[in-house]
Amino acid sequence: MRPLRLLIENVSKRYKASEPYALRDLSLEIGPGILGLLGPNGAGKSTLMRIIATITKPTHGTVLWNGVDINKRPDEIRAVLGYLPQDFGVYPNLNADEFLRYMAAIKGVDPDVAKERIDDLLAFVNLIEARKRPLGDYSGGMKQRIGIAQALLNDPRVLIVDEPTVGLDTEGRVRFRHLLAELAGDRVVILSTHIVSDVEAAANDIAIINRGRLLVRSSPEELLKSVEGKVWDWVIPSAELPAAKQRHLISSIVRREDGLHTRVVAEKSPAGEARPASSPTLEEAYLYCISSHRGAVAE
Amino acid sequence: MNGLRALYALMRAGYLNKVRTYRFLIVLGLTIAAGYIFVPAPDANYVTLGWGSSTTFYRGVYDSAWIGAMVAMLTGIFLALTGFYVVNDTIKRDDQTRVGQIIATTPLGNSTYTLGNTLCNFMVLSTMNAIIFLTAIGMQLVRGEDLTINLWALMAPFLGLVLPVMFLVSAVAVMFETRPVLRGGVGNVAYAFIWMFSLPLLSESVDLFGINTILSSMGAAGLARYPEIAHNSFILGYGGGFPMGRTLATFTWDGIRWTTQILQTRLLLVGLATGIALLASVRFSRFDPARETGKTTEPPLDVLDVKEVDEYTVPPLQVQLKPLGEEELRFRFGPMLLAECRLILGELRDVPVFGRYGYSVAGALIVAGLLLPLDVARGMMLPLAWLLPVLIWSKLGTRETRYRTDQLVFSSANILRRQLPAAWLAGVLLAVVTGSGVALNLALHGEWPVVLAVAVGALFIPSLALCLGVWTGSSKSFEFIYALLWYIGPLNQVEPLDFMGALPGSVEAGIWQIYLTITIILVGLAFIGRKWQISRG
Repeated sequence: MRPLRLLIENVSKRYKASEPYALRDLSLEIGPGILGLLGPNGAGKSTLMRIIATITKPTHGTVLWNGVDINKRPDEIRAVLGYLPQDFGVYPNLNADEFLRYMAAIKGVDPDVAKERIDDLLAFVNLIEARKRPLGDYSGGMKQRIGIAQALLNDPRVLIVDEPTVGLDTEGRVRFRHLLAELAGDRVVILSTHIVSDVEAAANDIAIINRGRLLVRSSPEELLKSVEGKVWDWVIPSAELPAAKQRHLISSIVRREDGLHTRVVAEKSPAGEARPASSPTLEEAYLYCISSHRGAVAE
Repeated sequence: MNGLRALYALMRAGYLNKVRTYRFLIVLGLTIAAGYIFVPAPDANYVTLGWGSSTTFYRGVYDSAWIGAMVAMLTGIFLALTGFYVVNDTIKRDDQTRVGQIIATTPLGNSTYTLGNTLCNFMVLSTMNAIIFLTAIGMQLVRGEDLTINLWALMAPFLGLVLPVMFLVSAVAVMFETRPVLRGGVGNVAYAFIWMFSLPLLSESVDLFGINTILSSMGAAGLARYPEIAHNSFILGYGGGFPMGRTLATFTWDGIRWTTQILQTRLLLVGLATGIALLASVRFSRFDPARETGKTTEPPLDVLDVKEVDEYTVPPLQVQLKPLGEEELRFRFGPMLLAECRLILGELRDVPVFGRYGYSVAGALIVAGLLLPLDVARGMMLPLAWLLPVLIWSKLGTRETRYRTDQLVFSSANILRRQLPAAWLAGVLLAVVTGSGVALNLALHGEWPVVLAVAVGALFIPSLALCLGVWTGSSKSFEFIYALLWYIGPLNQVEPLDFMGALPGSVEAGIWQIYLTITIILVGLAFIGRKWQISRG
């Protein structure tokens, strides 16, 4: 089997000449494993996902799949692609079985193999009971699970999932993370989300983008290291919270008898009584990264 | 005061939303082009308004009065049809974008909402009229028979004749949207038929477009100057094939005399439209799915809950997904075609109007086509059998964007070679199956040339649907073009438009060969369109 390699080189995307770039000069090299793509809303994550999935063409730059330019030969990656877009629909008159059989036919999965795989996938996404109901009657979370199932139909070498856990309950989210971890060994998985805990649990590699640019590419451990000594436990009276929020980046607040226990992300201690916090979280590292590039982290 | 403010805000937002769409620009472009065509040059080989004989064509001088009245009358007829399709999605958009659910929680009353949307529609259609009015001024100058611009003479027919009709169309569009059964494709097709049936009827009884009044006045002016004009030689609309060497005889017409009777009729129309707009609010569901009596044909634009059907209590699962090899991922056309057919069958199972009786109705039409006398089967049952699936064909080429599966489908490999031919062929099979009773009847009687013409019809319909769907991105264009073709061709026995071989004369004339050529072009265009759609990014 060929080594899997997705190379994104200086990719930019502008939807209209009058609008700012959604992606600007972004380069990434992605191999087997799970890449967690983090960024605030509007950062350009979905645009990047759509470019890799060959739905959108870049304004500049190239994306190479095992050395082949997917802009020129999109079917090279489409043949091995599983894609769960952030926003998608289903055919309301079909049931889950029929819809997945339809998608399997499009993806070229052998009908007999497809039947068995659909059974497995429906069991995995816990829709066995509802498999004969029209999709028009499904809830948002159930449709999301159908989306996950269709992305895995063809045993994809490249799996792109954009905000996959939206609409799922806690158990569904946990199960999905486990599945990603299981799949990641010999394939490229790109998980785009704004939910840091999803990335924390599943990804072995993280890319943070904001305003269309790549800010950081590192492992979760390195990212955590970057925020060491920059998170502070600080107890303040309730009345001081608005002022504290104005001055500092507060990652969490817990109300206790002695006041509000806050965690502040800052280069230096926000106040004399503040103490260095133990074990910074990935969310705090992410906040630090985004804010420091905006220049919002207090000295 | 608050009510008026809300009404204004509603109108403004709806108006801006509409005039910023490509559909508005396309219809506007067509309307301007129509304005140009409506005023033919003296040496053109067609005429639009006047009286003709084989040697002479009589019409008014192209001055402000004549051009204003002529363009206004033709615009009224043209926009009464096309304008409806521009404005008949105001409430649907609010529903699909879920803005409607926000509106429903405000103090805005139902009648204010439906009236506001009627006025919004009216503003959109008035904008089109204003632009075609400017085109009319340009046409008077371009034709150059009389360079004196009389603004009132040009404008009055638009204000007095066309705008009341546009108000009526606006209100009817809102009425259709508030009735679940008329909201989607059924309403699109039904309106085309209403337009076709009511045009001659209403023009004679209530003079909907003010045509009778104007024409009798024009006729009187023409007769005063040329007594030889024959009454039955009147032409309104497209009159082609005039001999190039005919003599053009012109006369001066003073314009419309606005009598009390004309004004009363126009006011009556405005009142009728207001009544329809207010009546639309009576059973308006206010975006509450529970109050919808019929099922909408389109899903909401997002994936929010309709109803929860499961209790999510899951035991831990040990599902192992087996790896798939290359052999198991080899594309086969059969399963793809089967999947497309299954999709169509699902829609036939729930076809609008007939609901879950879709299969039964199709079956009854097939049996009737087989058992009825040949001329009835061919002339009546075949058109009926091919009217039932119109809303299924109309989804060809648009289904992916309509149901937002486009990203899932278009990110699959070789989609142009795999899915599009299968979708087209499934549409052809639907035509073959629904028309099979008549075709079998014809074959049993040895009418093989007619069977061939019917087969071309079965190829033509889905090709037209696919091509229009891919290029326009909407099912509306096919729905109303097909309805027009269906009604004018096979039903009204206009042979050149008999695309399905329902008329003996059309088969003898070999019309099917033309439709076969058109079919090949349409399929080619559909493929080009889809390729562009996928590759443009």
